[in-house]
Amino acid sequence: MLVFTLKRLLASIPTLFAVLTVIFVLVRIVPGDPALAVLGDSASEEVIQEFRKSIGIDKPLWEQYLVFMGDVLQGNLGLSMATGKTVVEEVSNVLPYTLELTVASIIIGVVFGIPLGIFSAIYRNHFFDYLARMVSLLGLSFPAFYISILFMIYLSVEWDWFPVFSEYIPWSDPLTRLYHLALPALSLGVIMIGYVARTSRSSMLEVLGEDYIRTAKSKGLPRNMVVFKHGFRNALIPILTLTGLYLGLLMGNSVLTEIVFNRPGLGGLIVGSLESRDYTMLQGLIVTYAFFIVLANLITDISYGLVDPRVKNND
Amino acid sequence: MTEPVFCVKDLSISFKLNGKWCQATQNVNFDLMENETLCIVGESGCGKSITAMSCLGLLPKKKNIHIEGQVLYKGVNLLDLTEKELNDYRGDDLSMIFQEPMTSLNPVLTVGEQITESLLVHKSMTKAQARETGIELLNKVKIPEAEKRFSQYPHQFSGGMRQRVMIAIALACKPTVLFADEPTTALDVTIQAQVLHLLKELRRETKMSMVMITHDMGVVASVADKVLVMYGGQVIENSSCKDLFEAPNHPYTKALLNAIPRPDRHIDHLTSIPGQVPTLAGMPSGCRFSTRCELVSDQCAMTPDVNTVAGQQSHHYRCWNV
Ligand SMILES: Nc1ncnc2c1ncn2[C@@H]1O[C@H](COP(=O)(O)OP(=O)(O)OP(=O)(O)O)[C@@H](O)[C@H]1O
Ligand SMILES: [Mg+2]
Repeated sequence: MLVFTLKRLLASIPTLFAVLTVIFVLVRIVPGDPALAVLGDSASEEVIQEFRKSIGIDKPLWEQYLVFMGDVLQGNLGLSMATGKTVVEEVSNVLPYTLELTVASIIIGVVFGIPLGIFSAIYRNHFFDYLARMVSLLGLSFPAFYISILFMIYLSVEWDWFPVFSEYIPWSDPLTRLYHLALPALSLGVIMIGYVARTSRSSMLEVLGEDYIRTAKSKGLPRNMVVFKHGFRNALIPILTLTGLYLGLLMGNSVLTEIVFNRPGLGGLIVGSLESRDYTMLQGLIVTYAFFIVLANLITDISYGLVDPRVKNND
Repeated sequence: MTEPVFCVKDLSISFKLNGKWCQATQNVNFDLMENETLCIVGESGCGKSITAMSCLGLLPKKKNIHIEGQVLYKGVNLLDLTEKELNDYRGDDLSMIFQEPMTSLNPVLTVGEQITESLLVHKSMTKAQARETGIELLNKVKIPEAEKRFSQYPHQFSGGMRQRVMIAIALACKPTVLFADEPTTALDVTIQAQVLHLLKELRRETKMSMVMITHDMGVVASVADKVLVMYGGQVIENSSCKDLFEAPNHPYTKALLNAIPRPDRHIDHLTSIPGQVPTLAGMPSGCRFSTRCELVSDQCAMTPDVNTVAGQQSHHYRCWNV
């Protein structure tokens, strides 16, 4: 298992390189001169040149590329054009908020979505199945910000159960922080429940029709053993893959949720840097997202090895 | 006369295809005495597997599948039992070797786990006892390095070895009746012979009865006491093995026996039966073989009666024109 994990780890390095290269190119083909954006139209030629030099975009592209890669590998994402602080500092101030939001909603999605989907498959076309499918359809069809707003109107404003706006809470006060996390995490979690439940249901239905389930039945095993020991573990394999994929979706949706709840996080930074055309900040944010998506894929890959013996042994 | 251990009476299985009920097997009957081996032969799709599966209550209980008739094990009609009641018999008294060795084993559980499961459930063995028995079983089905193989996963086994693992699983609780659905088809000839030998040996040791499904008339000749020949879901001939080979009655049986290549018959091409098996939805009424039969006549539009061969009490066939 250790060897397998190391191999996967090594395999994700080229992916990360490729992603960084794409980001480098993307940022540079976006139209608009960052210098003009920051300094305004009226800036003199001299000032503009000075500025271009200060952020290194006067050099040839290949040199910019090497510098960019070198910096990123050393954990240096440059200075924010808007605030003058380092991007790393700005990002790491709010990153924990976004991470706890995504992790919490994944947990909500998995903890409720998997059982919902699995039982929905077992009781296919019974009342429970229809109910569960309705619930997951709700999660699937409402956009994140809409659910956020609904929750906010009812749970915060009307009934006053949760705070309307979140703010910076130090970790030294974990309960308050959790309290502020609850509503945003729930509104993202509902979406995850929808996706995870749908995947779990279809994957379990497929597995229950497999030949080895018939074999298990022919052994006279009790129904629970057939369904959970023989069915569930196999159904988990596609559930894991798709949950890994949904992480990307979740990060996108978290931006909107953070904005609706006025929650500190990457979402606020993105909007801010778009408004001020803070080009280094934007680049740094994309790198951060890319890093976490590659990380999520890595975790998905490794968890495969835990569930599916074929993956571990073939490598 | 002693009672049969296992008995199938007028078993008809229908599937609803595109809103229309199609009868996949029609009034299948057979008895199985203790220690007796019955072979079911017939072309692909004639309903052999579903017959065996319904004997263990393994056909899904869905609205588009309808089963009529009786499946009696020691006098109990298995078709009347709930899944829970069936579980007392399945894997213990009755077990089945499936036709598809590649997909019939669970990919995420070790082979050992899959063999010992039924021992733990039915024989209340401890883990250690079950392990010992499991390794013994692997040795019995001639898996080399059984101890090591015990904790490996199915994907580490070849097709033939998986089939032998399936056999070990089915034999684990020493069943009274074993249903073997083409257990040797995936195996090469030497292993095939070993497996047949093994099954015969077990039969001697444990007084097991066996229903073996096969395409291979050679296998029939070597293991069967009785033979059931099926065509398009109907039993068209049944008899003792000896009588069938010596004096087949039904034109289909004759054609089937003629289709076996034999070195003593110098023919340039293999004999085959002209035409194709009708599809489930397009079964002719009456004799289902009539579309391909040399002896076909007007009468064949009606289902033929069961005739008994003179002087051979247990030799029956369904044909108007013999
Ligand atoms: N679940 C099902 N739904 C609809 N039709 C089915 C189903 N299972 C089997 N059949 C049909 O029943 C018929 C008999 O199938 P069966 O598997 O018993 O054939 P078989 O005699 O075992 O053939 P083979 O030698 O190829 O294994 C086939 O025509 C098949 O298409
Ligand atoms: Mg079959």
